[in-house]
Amino acid sequence: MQGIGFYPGGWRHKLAQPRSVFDRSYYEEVAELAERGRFDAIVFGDQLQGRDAAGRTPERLAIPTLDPFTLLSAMGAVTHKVGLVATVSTTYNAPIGVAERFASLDLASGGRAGWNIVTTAHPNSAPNFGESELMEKGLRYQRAEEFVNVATQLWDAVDDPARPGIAHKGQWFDVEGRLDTPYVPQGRPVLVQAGQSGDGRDFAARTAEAIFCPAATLEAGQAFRTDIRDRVARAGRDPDGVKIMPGLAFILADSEEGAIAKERELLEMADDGLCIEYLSESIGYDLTRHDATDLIPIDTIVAECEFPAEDIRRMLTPGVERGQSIADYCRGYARQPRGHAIFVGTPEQMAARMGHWIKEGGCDGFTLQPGFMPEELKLFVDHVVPLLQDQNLLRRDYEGATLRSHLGLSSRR
Amino acid sequence: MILSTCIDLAADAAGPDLMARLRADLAASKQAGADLLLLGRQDGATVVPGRLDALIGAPTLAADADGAALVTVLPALFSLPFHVARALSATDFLTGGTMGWLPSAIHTDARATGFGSEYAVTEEEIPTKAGDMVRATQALWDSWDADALVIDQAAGRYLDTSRVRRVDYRGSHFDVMGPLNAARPPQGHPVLVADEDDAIMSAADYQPDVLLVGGDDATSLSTVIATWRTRGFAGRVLAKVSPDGVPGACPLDQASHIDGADGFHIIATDAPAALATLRPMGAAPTGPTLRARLTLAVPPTPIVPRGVSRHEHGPTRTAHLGLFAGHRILSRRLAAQAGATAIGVRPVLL
Repeated sequence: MQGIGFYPGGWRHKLAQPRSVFDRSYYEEVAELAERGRFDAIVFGDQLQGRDAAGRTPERLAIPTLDPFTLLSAMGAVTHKVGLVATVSTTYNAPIGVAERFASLDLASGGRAGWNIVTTAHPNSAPNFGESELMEKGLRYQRAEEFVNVATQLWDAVDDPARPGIAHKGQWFDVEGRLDTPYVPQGRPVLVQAGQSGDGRDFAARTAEAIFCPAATLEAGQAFRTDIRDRVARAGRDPDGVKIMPGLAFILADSEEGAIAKERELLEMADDGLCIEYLSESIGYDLTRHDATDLIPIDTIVAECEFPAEDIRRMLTPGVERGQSIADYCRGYARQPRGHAIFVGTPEQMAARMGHWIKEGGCDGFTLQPGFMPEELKLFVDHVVPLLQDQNLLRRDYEGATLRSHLGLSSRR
Repeated sequence: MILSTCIDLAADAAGPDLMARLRADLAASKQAGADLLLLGRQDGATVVPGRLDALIGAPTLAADADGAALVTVLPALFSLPFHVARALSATDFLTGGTMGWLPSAIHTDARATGFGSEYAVTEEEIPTKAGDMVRATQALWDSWDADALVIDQAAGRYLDTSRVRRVDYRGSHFDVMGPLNAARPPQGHPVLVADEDDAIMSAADYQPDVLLVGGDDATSLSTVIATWRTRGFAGRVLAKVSPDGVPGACPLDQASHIDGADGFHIIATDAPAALATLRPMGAAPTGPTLRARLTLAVPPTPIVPRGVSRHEHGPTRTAHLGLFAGHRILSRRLAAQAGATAIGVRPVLL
């Protein structure tokens, strides 16, 4: 879950509740909804920087990025089974601090914690943690690997009071000690990862138990899953012990035409001003200082934006070659946010498509991204979930109480 | 009259009933009249971080607190301002503006070796770093004005961009650019609580909203309170009292003889019983937010021209022990191995 939903204009929909996302009752309702839908887990993404571009925070983009640990803790308090997965960076934290926080979440929720391990890629995160620039990617992954290793040692030591604690000396961390938390129900939280690059995939293959990824088509999903399973096997682990759950955004209605109309309505709510801010925020360059009808000022952007030049060139060059204006390019960009698969149709069509992906080896499950919240999630739970249950693709009730048991992962206790 | 006490996981228990016991303890203290529930534990008369991470505990227990305010007790020397500012912004929203926080400068060997060299401090730096953590966190809350959120669905305007800004905070130990990716908390700043015995009170110009003060009897405690007032402390003062003979806390049966306190902080193995004896001495404060209940003003957001940073702490940053000292050590190590600085990480903040 990410704020108000998948579509950048979704917060403007008449059924969206952009103010209530600051209230505890909203998260309690959503958590109960997810548990009623027999979801494995609720996942919050996260970022460690303001959402500004060159110091200007977007006006038209809804950005209620409340702290994931806080939201998941509140959601865990009113549920009993659904898993709680928090995104936490290994670059801007200490292993013992993160291990302690997850041990507490696991304890507070009775064994439902999961950790989406990220290394933080946004250059503006660094100056929020006293650094002048982001650590190079290869080093971030090296640090991440040792970080997870230390955290794992710390969790494992909790169950063994005879052990004096851990004594780790590595390239990145010197850690001696143990957690103060007296009990960790799952032994270890479930480790989730979302790396796309070669470094990211290898890291996932060595550490992750569940993987979140974009897969715009079935073929992309199959290719990703095959590749990851190969890497997992090469890393000496059981490929069935790693669940691959690509993103799936959705818009539901009684009829296909109704769903298409609803999507059009949501896209129109993203007006040019919003679309321009949306891209500005993504590339860390304030496009609002240009006229919306200007051609894409690629050289200025590359010179001044906060991301690596080659990434930005690769992204914008097709638009430049098509001779698109800033507004035209940004409109197209906001229609296909983040490269995830988008489903628009009826509950029957969605259940059939999900079943097809599973059967064809495109994935082991899905990370659902409702078009806007909470309405689309309600539609899914009320209308798609029963169809998935009829096809035996989804549990009718939880069998175990922990996230590990929901995902069919080995117990760490 | 304000009553507070600590709630934490029992030290001697393990297993699945731990949380149930914690919830029962919390409910009993609330029932007995507690206004502030500190998610931390007592080390003698001093409040220290608890066994359950308070930033998890507060939102988990928010519904159980049933109107009582929760105070997260956290280790200031082992916390990062950006994370703390966000977490407490979210908990303040989720609790309707009733959060407090008690950053503790506790520095035990166990924490020091657990967190390692990236977090190492000298003895002299302890209060400085802890105080700087608090100021950096508050600076991040100040990166959003109270009226920044507009949320006009029809007009498509979510916020007023002129009300959100980078802060470029530069302190003795923390540099934070901002803005925070979370709105200003409903209380402006969650209520800042401090324990008089904590080293953070030695930080320069440290001004908590609520101070827990101790003394072995009513007379000495009254003197301590008078001294704080003479020094100009304008916040709420809670006197530490205990029925258990804890050194540094006044015996419970002398509570009515303490002068100048706004309420009591109870240190007791049976906190509900002690709370129940004190509650009749004065009514519980009421109000929508914790600040309102404690009659504390909402901190104003400083008015700053855009692009100007207002947290320059001058030239005192010579020995900049930035948090990620470990990164500097590593980049040196790698550079030495490679015989050059060709590694992609730049030695920062040297």
